[in-house]
Amino acid sequence: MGGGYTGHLMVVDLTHGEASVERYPDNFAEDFLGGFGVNNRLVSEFSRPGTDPLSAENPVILGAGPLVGTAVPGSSRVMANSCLPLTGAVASASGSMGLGANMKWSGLDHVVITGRAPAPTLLYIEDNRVEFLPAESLWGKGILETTRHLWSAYPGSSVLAIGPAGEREVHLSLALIDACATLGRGGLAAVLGSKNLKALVVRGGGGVKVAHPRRLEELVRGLHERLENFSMREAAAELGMIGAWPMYAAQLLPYGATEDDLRVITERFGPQAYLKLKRCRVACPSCFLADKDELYLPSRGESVYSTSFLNAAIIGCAFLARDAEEAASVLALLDDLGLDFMTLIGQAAYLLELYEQGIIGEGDVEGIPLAREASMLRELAVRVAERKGAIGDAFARGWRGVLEHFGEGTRRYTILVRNQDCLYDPRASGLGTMEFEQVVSPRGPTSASAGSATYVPGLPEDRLRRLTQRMGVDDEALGRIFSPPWSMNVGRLTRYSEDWFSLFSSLGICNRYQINRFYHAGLVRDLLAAVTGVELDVGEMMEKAAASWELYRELNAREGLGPEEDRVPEAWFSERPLWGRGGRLEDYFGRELSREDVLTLLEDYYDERNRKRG
Amino acid sequence: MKHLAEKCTGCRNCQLICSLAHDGECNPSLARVLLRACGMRFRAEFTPECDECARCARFCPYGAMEKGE
Repeated sequence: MGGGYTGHLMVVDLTHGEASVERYPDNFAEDFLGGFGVNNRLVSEFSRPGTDPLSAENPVILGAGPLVGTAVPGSSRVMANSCLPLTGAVASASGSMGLGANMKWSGLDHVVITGRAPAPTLLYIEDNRVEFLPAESLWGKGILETTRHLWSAYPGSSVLAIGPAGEREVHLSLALIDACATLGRGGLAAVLGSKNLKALVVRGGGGVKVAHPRRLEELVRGLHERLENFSMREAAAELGMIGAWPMYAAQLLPYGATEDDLRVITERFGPQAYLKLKRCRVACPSCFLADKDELYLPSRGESVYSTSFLNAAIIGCAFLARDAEEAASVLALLDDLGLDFMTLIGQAAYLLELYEQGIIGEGDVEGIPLAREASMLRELAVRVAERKGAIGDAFARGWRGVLEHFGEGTRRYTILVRNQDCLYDPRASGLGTMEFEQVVSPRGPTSASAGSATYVPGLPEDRLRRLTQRMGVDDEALGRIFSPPWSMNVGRLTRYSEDWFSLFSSLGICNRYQINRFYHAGLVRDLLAAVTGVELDVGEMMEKAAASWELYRELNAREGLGPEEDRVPEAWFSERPLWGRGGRLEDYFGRELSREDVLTLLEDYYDERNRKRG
Repeated sequence: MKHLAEKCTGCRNCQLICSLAHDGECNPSLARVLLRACGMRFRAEFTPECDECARCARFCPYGAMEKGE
């Protein structure tokens, strides 16, 4: 192999306290690029169908693609593949901060964690060496305290840690990297907890070889020059995602909201409220548009890190927090416990809906306050993380546990696909690729895959077409996507959004829209060639990205999670005033969609998914 | 060269571009600018080999590096 790849993976056996570093076959990277793609290939090697997610036999496979650890802007993605307990899917989760780069600087493209340690364990990797250390003193501690302790013990390292929710194998737990990047919605932390692995610390003292250094420097310079000319650069540098507050505020307000409502949420959670808490912005390695923060919370008397202040604003608007500090404190609590805030909000909203419908009363929830307030989220979070009481234990088992507890008949008060709650409601935002992907993703609804230009509301058709072309979509496919009767066929476009995600996640580039908007397929090909020396044309490169996604689908089909599980939520067909738009199912451009339309789009997705490129 | 710690986000673009330009690989430990981390706050030092090419400043997206007088 040339530059970019180290060619090595580490296999860790927690049961016996052993590890080995091996070369993996060159054709893995040749066929599947790296990161996400090679992780899927390694699942085929290390995992058997039907494995219990919380058994010692379920591996956790970490992967960092060939661009990770280099100067390519935003190339810090680390992918984690494992069978997750919330859905049973062999999911691939995407995270950031310093873990992937430190793996690469340690000479590793992948780390495969197998077995189960006999007692709480800390795994420390430095430059191909590994140590198994006792972690009893950290067990029970929150993620922030754990991470700070380990940074102090291992300066300059990156820390992947789980909190009390993961230790108790809560299905809606996730892990955090460096206390501010989430990894593994759907219970990755529960898998790590079942292995008695409290934390993984990686510190790399080496580097990533580059095949053509001068060429890479020129390409990176071009990207930085594009950033210089980006009209929102200063706002993004100062405020992160809150720099685009008007766009997000419109999506956070309920349908029919007034100017006064907008003023209230802007005062509470908008840019000025954020600046009062902000201490400094925090970036992943090589990122040129940081989205994470260090925030000072007077009520805690300390600084915390946030995955993004926008998440605090989402919590604040949904649960009527008094101010930014209360919202950020709730987010910090959930991060410390290691809980997925999106699913927890969904569970709390479901409880409130049952209460408002008269299905449950205050006596049915073991004292959890049934009010749309931050206190409800706090109480529910602690109950779930500690599996406290019948409610805490049921909700800790995810939606399966919730529906067992309150009855299958209450399913209609939440919106699930593959037993995971939907994050985006097309009745509020229109049916873009992120909304559509929730139905067809092998993993179930996530925030990550199938992002495209439909992330930005209100773009005209010709602009959408140009932005789709930059994703390496050939002319014939463009003709099928942008053709009558659709101005934009979201089923067909979703296939290419998945391929785009697969490409970025395999190479290691951040797929946040704020970052990937600077890239196009030709540039990605050039960067890959500069770093690795591997010269591909765009079609060849995108074929490998598509092959990686196909393998991902096949791995889940063999678990019984194939297309038969791609069910459009019934709720999408009922009109209801929601956030943003008026509550009718509409396409991206605001035209009403019928049930037949959506089923046609689903068939079009499969048709496009099964086509070879070119 | 001068490091403005209050603007630093820890992105390490300075180290990555420095080692790429001078050593042909992306390797923070070879860079002429060293970053000492304390949590998510960073302090920079420049090694005697630094020739003040100022790439670290040009490639810092957050304005945390300046070429001194």
